[in-house]
Amino acid sequence: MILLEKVHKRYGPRVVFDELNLTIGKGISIIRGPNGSGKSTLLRILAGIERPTRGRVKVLDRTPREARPLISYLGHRTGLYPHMSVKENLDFFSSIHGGDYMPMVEKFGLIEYMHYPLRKLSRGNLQKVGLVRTLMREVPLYLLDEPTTALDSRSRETFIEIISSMRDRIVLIATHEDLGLDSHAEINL
Amino acid sequence: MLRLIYKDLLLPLRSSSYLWAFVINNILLVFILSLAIPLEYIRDMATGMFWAVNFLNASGFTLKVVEDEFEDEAMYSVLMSPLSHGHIALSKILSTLLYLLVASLINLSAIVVLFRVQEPFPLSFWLFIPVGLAGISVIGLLISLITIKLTFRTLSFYILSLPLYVPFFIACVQGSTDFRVEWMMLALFLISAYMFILLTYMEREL
Repeated sequence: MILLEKVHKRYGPRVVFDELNLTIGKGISIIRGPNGSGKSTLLRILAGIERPTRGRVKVLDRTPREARPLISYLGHRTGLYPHMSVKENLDFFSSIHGGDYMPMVEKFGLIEYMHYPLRKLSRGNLQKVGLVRTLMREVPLYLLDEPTTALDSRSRETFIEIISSMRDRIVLIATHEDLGLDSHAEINL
Repeated sequence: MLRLIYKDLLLPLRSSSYLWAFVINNILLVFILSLAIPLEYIRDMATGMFWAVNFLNASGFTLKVVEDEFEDEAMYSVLMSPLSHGHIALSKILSTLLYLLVASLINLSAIVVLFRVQEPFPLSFWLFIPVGLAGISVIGLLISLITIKLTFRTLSFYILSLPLYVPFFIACVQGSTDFRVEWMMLALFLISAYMFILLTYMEREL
């Protein structure tokens, strides 16, 4: 369960959200809103990367920072090391996060890129590696910010197939796109 | 933990341009100093030069090491693992220390050749090498982490690190040339204090 009570966030004079109250339970929830409405900021607060200016945030009955080991987060950036290869990155993150990356690497068609440094990959392939890192973990909470950005239609379908099998967890997706996921909650910022 | 150290050792090797720049810059600095300083003084100044070159160059290296962690926010992915902040910091310090040791040996070889050093360095000098480099590593990583999100990151890094480096630099130079227990105690105290601040900062701010 995610709980936000009277959460206020501002960057200098700009108020991103004021008195935000939200309760999110198990299943897939989609966050929608125009550019700059605070979708990414909300996910970063839940991931413990940013702090709200004021208000109370509880993630899985803990503070976001305490809950970090139970969260898998994909932001606008991949959260990977651009100078290391795909394999080196996934080896490292599977060793500290747990999880087997090979089934997802095969599903996303990344086998041939395993020894490429990340900085030499296309935007779409980079996003796929970021998704593999995020989704290979077995955690109760997934926070995904624009996860289908730059993906081709096949990879998008693969992503939807994987996400659809995660309804027993909390999956929070910030997106502009219609992902065609059935039975999900919508949050409009 | 071993996997973390392996990754921290691999990272500078993979983005090797700044690793080479760091090593070459060390040698060039020693070369320029050897041309600029008269021969009669040069041998007496070898120890001081060794530390000056190390402090000047290694601080920039530590900044780049931390920049690599935040380039694509990989550090946040690491923080979302069950690893403690202490393990993450210790791995970074140890891997940076190893690179600084290798670079300082190259630096020392250049000093011996270009400064025409004939007498062996005193035991205190060798004792201070691991202590001094550990201090440079801890201070560099601490200030790099504090300044990583600032707009004028590099400028702020050098301004903020100066007051932390100065007492440590004095302890290293004095202790290496004329060994007294007080200098070693001062160096070890400063490392412990900066390490405590580094861990506290990571726990509160990252």
